[in-house]
Amino acid sequence: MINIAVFIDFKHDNLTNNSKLLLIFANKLVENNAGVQLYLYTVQSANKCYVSAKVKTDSITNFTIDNNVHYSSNASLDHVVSHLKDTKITHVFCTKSTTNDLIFAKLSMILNFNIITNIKSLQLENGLFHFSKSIFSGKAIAKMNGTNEPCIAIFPKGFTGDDLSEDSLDTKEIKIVHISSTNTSSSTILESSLIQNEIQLSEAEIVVGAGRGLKGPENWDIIENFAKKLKAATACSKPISDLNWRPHHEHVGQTGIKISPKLYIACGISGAIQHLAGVNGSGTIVVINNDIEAPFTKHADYIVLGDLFEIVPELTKLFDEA
Amino acid sequence: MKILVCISIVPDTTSKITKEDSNNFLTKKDLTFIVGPYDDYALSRAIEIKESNENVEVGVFHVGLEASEPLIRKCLALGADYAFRINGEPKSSLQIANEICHYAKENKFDLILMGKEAIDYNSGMIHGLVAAGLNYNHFSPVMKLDVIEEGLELQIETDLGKSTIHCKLPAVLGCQEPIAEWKIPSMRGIMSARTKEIQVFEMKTNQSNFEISTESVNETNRKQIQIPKENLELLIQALKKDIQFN
Ligand SMILES: Cc1cc2nc3c(=O)[nH]c(=O)nc-3n(C[C@H](O)[C@H](O)[C@H](O)COP(=O)(O)OP(=O)(O)OC[C@H]3O[C@@H](n4cnc5c(N)ncnc54)[C@H](O)[C@@H]3O)c2cc1C
Repeated sequence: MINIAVFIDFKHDNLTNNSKLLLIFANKLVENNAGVQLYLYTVQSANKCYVSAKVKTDSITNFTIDNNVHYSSNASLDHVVSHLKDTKITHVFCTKSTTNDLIFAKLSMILNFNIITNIKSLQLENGLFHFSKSIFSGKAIAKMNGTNEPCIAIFPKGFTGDDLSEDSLDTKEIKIVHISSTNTSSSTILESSLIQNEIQLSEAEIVVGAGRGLKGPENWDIIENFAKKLKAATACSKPISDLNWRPHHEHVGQTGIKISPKLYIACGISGAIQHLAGVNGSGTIVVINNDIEAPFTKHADYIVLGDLFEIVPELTKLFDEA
Repeated sequence: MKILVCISIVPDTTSKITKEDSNNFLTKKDLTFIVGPYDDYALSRAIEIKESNENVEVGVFHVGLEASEPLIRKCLALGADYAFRINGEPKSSLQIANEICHYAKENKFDLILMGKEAIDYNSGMIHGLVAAGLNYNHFSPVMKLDVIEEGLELQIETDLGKSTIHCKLPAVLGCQEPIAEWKIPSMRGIMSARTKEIQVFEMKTNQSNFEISTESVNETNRKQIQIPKENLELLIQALKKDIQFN
């Protein structure tokens, strides 16, 4: 018996797009394999939950804790662990996020489940899971063949499985079962600041990135306006954040954030191998650069050669009209 | 305060990864290796804490083969007091975490630091696994770390922004910039590292049966279409065709 727990995330009472895609994928596994059962969970407080009519479940279990300091201790997961054990969960699926990383690494040790991250593909055949995952920051792929060991699988944002399904309509409301626990954590939050009015980099479908070609922080407006027009998040190369032109959480690459938007537009970025490591999972890459020799031109789908100070405002205008 | 910094040793960030002919794994010969960049941040911060506080000792811990010793010695040259190498080729995050737990249970550390992830297999899980194994407090990614009365003050990244946290010891932290600046060993550091001992122990945990079976290079071939800057409409048309926006 394979019992898959799918942990989904919400944003303002709606399933995140990444969670929707994962749920559709998991549901297909259930449809195509006898003896596979699906259980839905969330660790965020949920008020209402709608899922696709096809998803084979009629309830979701919502774990909450008081004094929740970012799931910083084993005790903060006690109620989750006992529920998963009672339900005889054999596999856990979730999407990558900072919070999920904290939770599922600890669950892996506590439950003694293996953990696999950055999943590129997953197939279930005759009760065996076949995985492939991206390694070396996307430069290579590792395969793991046929295992029925219990495991936790963390899927990158935008994971759809092999074929993209259009079936993402939220047509069925399901029951929410709340399970809460009081955890007196020894840690306390002194202060929190939320990223506001910005589209979150790791969630964004479109990202506009800028590098040293921008010349100075006073020119960031050009990028900001372009991003706004495209409903895109902004990103930067490492020197830009090292120089404090932009905050550190915007730097993408080997030592920064790894992103996989549908579209990445790189303006005045040379495309050093360390930068590419953070963006090579992007669907389509557009490079705007005045140097044909810039390494990025070999790793782009579309290249516009020229001065970004002319091209970016012009594109902003054109998207206006389009 | 006893700090342990766990380091990964990984191919240099400029390495071109290629496939080995004779088997189904990537070839790692001919590559230059470095201490994982995120681990390097963690180590740099540990050294800074040691330099500005009394009674702080910093140990370095690595699971890997003898070839990694020059890089472990570099950590000693940067200012770590002692180093341990667990001899073996680990096959999974869980196995490395179990080795760290095993060692840390015997040698009680107040604070265990490492990078938020290793840049070879990118799991980013080891700090969480270790924290759970030792039942220590756990935060990641940590961008700022200060030792204060009764514990630590941390700045961490969350899904929604940033938080400042008061964290009690013992704790395990996954680190990222700008927690510290990478450091270069001084001549004096290099000299004194020569006489510091790297203790070696054999791996204690069994091999995992959840292993990688094959590795291959990921060739994503991009279209490389040049768009004349006089005709940017072409780009917009092409993007609209390629991408389904929600
Ligand atoms: C261990 C390590 C880790 C690293 N990690 C990262 C990382 O995570 N992320 C990262 O980004 N970097 C990282 N780096 C740094 C990386 O090697 C590069 O130095 C960096 O990415 C270069 O940034 P850039 O492209 O903005 O600047 P540059 O390399 O200076 O490139 C600027 C580009 O702008 C173009 N340009 C200039 N003027 C114009 C104009 N008017 N119009 C159009 N184009 C113009 C130029 O042709 C050039 O290609 C790391 C380095 C090391 C050693």
